[in-house]
Amino acid sequence: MHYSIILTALLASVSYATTPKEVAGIYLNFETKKLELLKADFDKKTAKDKVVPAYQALEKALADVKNIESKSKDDLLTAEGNQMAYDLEILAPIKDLAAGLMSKEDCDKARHEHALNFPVVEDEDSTAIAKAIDKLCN
Amino acid sequence: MKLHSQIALSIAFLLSSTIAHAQLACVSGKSSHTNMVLQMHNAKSASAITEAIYKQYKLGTSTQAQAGCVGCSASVAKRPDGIAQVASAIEGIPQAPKLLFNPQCLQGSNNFEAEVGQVSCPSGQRSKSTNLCQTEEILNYQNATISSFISCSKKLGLPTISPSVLYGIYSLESGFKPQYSSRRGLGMGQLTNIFVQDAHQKWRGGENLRKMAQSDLQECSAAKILAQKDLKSKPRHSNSCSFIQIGEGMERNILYTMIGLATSWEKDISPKMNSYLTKYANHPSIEEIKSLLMANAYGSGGRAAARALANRLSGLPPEKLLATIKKPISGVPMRGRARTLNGYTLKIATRQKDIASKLKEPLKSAFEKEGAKACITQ
Repeated sequence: MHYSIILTALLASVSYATTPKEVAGIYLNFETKKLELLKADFDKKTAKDKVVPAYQALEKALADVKNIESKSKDDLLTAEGNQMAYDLEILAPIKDLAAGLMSKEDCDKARHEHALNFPVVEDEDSTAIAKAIDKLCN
Repeated sequence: MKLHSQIALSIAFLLSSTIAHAQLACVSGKSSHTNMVLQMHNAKSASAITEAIYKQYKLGTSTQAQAGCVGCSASVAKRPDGIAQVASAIEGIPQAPKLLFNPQCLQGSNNFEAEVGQVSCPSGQRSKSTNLCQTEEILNYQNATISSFISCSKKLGLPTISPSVLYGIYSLESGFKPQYSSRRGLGMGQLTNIFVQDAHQKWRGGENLRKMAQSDLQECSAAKILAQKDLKSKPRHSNSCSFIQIGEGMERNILYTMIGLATSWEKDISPKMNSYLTKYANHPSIEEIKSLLMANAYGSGGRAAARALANRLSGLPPEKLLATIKKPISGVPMRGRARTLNGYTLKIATRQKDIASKLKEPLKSAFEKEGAKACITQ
């Protein structure tokens, strides 16, 4: 429910900027895929097949944005690209966990890195990521 | 006769209270709130860490007393150092290493007050109505402690942050007030629990803590005592004084900041910029870039923000990167707010502007021109 409100708000806000239209489109698609990943139904057995390709698709989306930015005259850094780079970082502990053995040590690392990513502020993303880690570690 | 005695007693009382006040000239805080002064006094007689730092920097001797000369202008402060150097050469006494920061800059930073609690130690009592007196001696000791741990880190080959950015971090986090405690942050560096845990993880800061504990370098004499102790028994973040009390806690706070910054560079940021760092290894701006990225990892945006910054900026040549990182690099607004990846270093820059107004000439002009670099003595 919260996520659908956020998506609607994003749809409304993204069109405002001086950002190239293609970037806005890529970002909306990225955000949808990110939310799908956070809500996805996976467990220890299916994580590698479900999480890793989804994360790689998100990485590809950022690469596409960077490619568009690189064609601009003045080393443009779009807000969408910045957000996507940040989102990829906060999702990385889930991806690393899914790509590995999901051992106790892997789980400790994932939880630790997640806590370092959110040393002070906790938000919806933080909670959703913590739950995803728990799904693979509990 | 009786009247004479009373007059004599009054004069004696006036003199002793004047001396007491002279000894307790607070750079910040109230002279009646003496907890930190007592901590400093006790540390000098009972802490091996304090003893090592006093010895290393020859604190209390005329050379460093001059370095702590608060009212001196930057140009005047240099003169006695030179004289002391000549005197040392004549007498064959080894020169004390220089303190990292111009003492005036620590005082300028120390004038800021935050709406957070202050912790008295060893009781651990936290109060918002307390305003502990901080003296020149304490600031000078902090200066020496930071100098000691930076020089140890460098000698051990650990990544270090530039002193001017470090000055910015401490100015923003606490204004060099070791007693500050917010809901989650403790002491000079406002260390969070996860930051402390990070220094002990064997695949993270633990390696660096161990290097310090095993070092026989003279520069690491104080850091070694602390690192060895903490490897035997991990300090708890819930015990505030372990990260605040002068003699061990304040020093630990500084040491963990050094370890945390080194760890974030080694484990989080540099792996994202390997090819960039190789390409621009000898570029004059690379150290400043490194320091700004480390500072952003230290701040509330944390590790993810710094890594995202590294990702976003590593396509730019160094001059362009430096210019870009000094402006807001924000994400998409959500619920009216956008996350700014470099928000922490932008906050540091804002605070620096405020500090300039607290300094005296000629340092003030130098600070306005070149920022905190004007505060660095080495």
